[in-house]
This record gives sequence, structure tokens and C-alpha cells, in this order.
Amino acid sequence: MTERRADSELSRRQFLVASAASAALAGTAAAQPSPAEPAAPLTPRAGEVLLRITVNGQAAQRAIDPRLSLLDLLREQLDVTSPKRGCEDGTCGSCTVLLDGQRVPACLVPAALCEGQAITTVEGLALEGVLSPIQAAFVRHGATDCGFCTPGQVVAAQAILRESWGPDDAAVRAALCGHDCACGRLPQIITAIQDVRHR
Amino acid sequence: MEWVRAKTVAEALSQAGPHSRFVGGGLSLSLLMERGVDRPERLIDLSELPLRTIEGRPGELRLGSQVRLAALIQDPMVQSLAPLVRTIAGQIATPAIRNHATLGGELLERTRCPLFRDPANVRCGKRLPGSGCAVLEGATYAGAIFGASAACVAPSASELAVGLAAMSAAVTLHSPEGLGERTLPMLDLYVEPGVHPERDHVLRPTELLMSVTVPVQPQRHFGYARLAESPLSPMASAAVMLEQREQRIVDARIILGGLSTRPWRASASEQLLFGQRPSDELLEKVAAAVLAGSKARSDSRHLPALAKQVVREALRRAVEEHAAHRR
Repeated sequence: MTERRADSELSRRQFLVASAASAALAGTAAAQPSPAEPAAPLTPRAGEVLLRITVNGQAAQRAIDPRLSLLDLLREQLDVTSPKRGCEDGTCGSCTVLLDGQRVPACLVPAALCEGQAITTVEGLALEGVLSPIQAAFVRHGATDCGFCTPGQVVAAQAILRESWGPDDAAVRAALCGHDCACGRLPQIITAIQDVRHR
Repeated sequence: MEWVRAKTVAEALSQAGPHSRFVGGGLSLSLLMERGVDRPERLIDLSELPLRTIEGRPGELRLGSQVRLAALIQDPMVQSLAPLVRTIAGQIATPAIRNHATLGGELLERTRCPLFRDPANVRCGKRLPGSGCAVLEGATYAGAIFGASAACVAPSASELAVGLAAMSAAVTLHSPEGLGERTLPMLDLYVEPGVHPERDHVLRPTELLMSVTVPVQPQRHFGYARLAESPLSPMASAAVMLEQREQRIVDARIILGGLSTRPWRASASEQLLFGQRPSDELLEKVAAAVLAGSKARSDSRHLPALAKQVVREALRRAVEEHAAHRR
């Protein structure tokens, strides 16, 4: 974790609490977004920006602090906790989500930039309780160990299936740049991805 | 803190000021804000502006500043007309970062000097003007061996600028202050720290980087080499342009990155190439000559060797590129 400065500035935690409170005041639940959520317009207060996004197929809107990262929006306000906070500089890959189908590090993407976009996390990959092919391959090949980074790795693997990388293992390894697995499961992850690619 | 979704370039410029930041992919900015290194009062979102196009024009390629690195890598025109751009963009950071990072953001990324990025360090003239430099006062960090001043040794961050300078690219800037539009050679975008290390480049706070124009130059061949410790920390890079006629070099450019406070042109080395036929001895001599004007400190005494290595390798690749095209 990176050191943060504890000084006169509003800390991230304080402003998260403040933003969550403002969401509650505006009549929105800080829970899983639901399709039944009212489309009634939210009025952002001074210093806030209105954000409408779709998370795993469900529409959500929030008035947010412009400094909020996509990762904190998901974890702290929408209760989507599979993307994890790891390195905070984009090298560990544990916060990876799909933004309009493209994998991005959610910890570095300002949430306010995602207006009108669709976000998919690992929660959105399984359909009606049936694992997606890449999830099943991770299980089959023992591609998870401690599990902390697994949601980000699975989302990245899902994206890699649609990206244009070469056919060999070395290409998949290059595609996984930015997913350091401290448990050493990179070979199994590569096998799982290759398995689905060759099916 | 305010977020402005600009609908037009004019609106974006009218909202800009000393305490605002333009937001492209927002990645580097997020990191600096999260750490409290940068504390802007207004963020101007550029995502709705028409700056995401890659345009082929007669003799040149125009790249909008908001084109994402992944789009640069995948674009067929970039691939055939400016392959060096693709080569370099494909090595920047990670695939996930490249999906969101923009050309403009990469060109204007702030230094990776860890003392600049550490808000607990209060001796950084780039962050706190006039506060000195922790590195020059003894903190352990290599820093730049080219272009450093008594106030700052922070190396510049952009990798694409190194290649684009070798390609004689130009940047177009737009300002509302009666300046209108101006176009500068890529190298003139950046400044050395001197006594004002807080400035990385010549852009005014109200000026927007609109596009980069790359001349199409089939007669020239390019080489790029890079040494990196990790995906996010390139240590040294070099881009080389060679133009040969009947085996002899008639034009050359050598640009260094990572080791300098701004993309660094090794003019003295270029001179040694004119009129010569490429040979191992020549490339070795040219690589050694790039150290003219370098200044290593005890923490950076390993860097001159890296500078020579990347230049030698980039030269070798440019020569090979030429040979491959003759076949």
C-alpha cells in the first residue's frame, strides 16, 4: 500500500463517507444497484457530479465527488466488492474491470469519466449461476490460490479472449503484463486461457 | 472540486486556469491526486471532444490527442505509416492501462521521480516551487544524467515523445488567449528544469494539446530500444532515425528518453553518422559520443553505460530495418 498523507485535506475515507451520506440523503440506497432504482433525477450538490452507469447489467446513478475512482465507486457505494485495492499504481491488476468491454485498472480511472458506460466485474460473468467458460477453466486448472487477485485476473482473462494476441503461451504471458500473481499461479492462468481459446 | 464535461474545445479552454487540469484517461492524474501530490480545483473532462480521430492526410498522419494508446496500436494506418509509434505504444505500461491512457496524457505525464511522487517529501521544486531537490541533497535516486540543473534532476516520463521526436513530429496546441492555434516541433514542447523545475513543457494552463502530426517518410528507417525494471518504470530508451542513400547515411536523428529531464537530442552523435556507411565500429563510436554533455552523480554512475547500450541497439535496429527494406 502507498503511504497517504494525513494532513488538513479531507482524507479519502472522510470524503467517501461524506459522498455515501449524500447518496443516502438523495434517496438512493448505497447497496447493489437494482433495475427498480428510480430514474428520478438526482440533483448533485456543489462539488458533486452526476454519474449514470450500468454495472453488470443494472443501471445506477449517483452524485459523486469528482475525485472518486471507479474502484471506490464500485466497492464503497455500489457494494460490488470483487475488484480489489492492491498496488494503487496499476501494476497488480487486482482491480481490473471491463469498461464498455475493455479491461481497465479501476483504481486509476476517475469514476466521473465513466458517464453512460457499462461496467462488468466478475459478478457479471456468470449467467444465472452458471460459470462462464473462462471461470470454469480457472477452476479446472487450479488457476487460483489465495484468491485476492482472482476477480481481476478472471476479468482480464475474459478480455484477453477477445483481444488480438498471438497464439502461443508467450503471447498470453505478455497479455497478462500487469497481473503479478504473488502465489505463482501465472502458468495455470495461462493454461486456463489457452484452454478456452482452443475450444 | 468541480468536474466539467466540456462539449466543445472552446468550452474546455474557457474553463481552464492555473488550478484546473484537463482529463484524458485520468490515470496518472488519479494517482497524483490520490497521493495528494496534485490538488487541482477543477477537472475538465475532454472525452466528448472530437479529438479521438486518427487521420491520414497527404504525406502525414494526424493523431488526435485523445486517441487511446490501444487504438494507436490497433490502427492499420499507424501500423503501415508510423510503425515506430505502434512499437513504442505497445511497450508502455500494461495492456489494461493502454486501453484507457490517451496520447496527450502520455506525452504530458509528469515525472516518475519517486521524490516528486512522495507527498511526504517537501523538498521538490517541481511540486513546491523553490523548495530545493531532495535528490541533490542526498536522497538515493539516480535521476537524469542529461539536462539536469542545480534545482532538479527529475527525468521526463513520456516514451512516445522520444519516438515522435525521432520522426520529426509536430504538436498542435490551441489557446483562447489570442494565440489561437500554434504548431511546434515535438522537441520544442518540453523544457529543461533550469531554475523553474515546476514547468515540464511550454503549454500554458489554458492551452490544450489538440493533435500530433507525424510526417510519412518511407525513405527513412527507425529503431527503438528500451530498458525497463518493471512495466511502469522504463530506465532508458532511445529512438533513432536513419536515412541512407547508396549505403551512406544522409540524415540521422538520435533521441534519448528516461535518462534526461526532457526528450534529449544527441546532436553530436548524429554528426558522426553523416556520409558514413553503417558498421559495428561506427555504431560503437556513435553510441559512445552520446555521453557528450552528460553528467552522472554517484547514484547515477550506472546510467552512462545504459545510455550507450540503448543507443547502440536502436541504431542497430534502424540499420536492420533499412537492410530489410532493400531486400
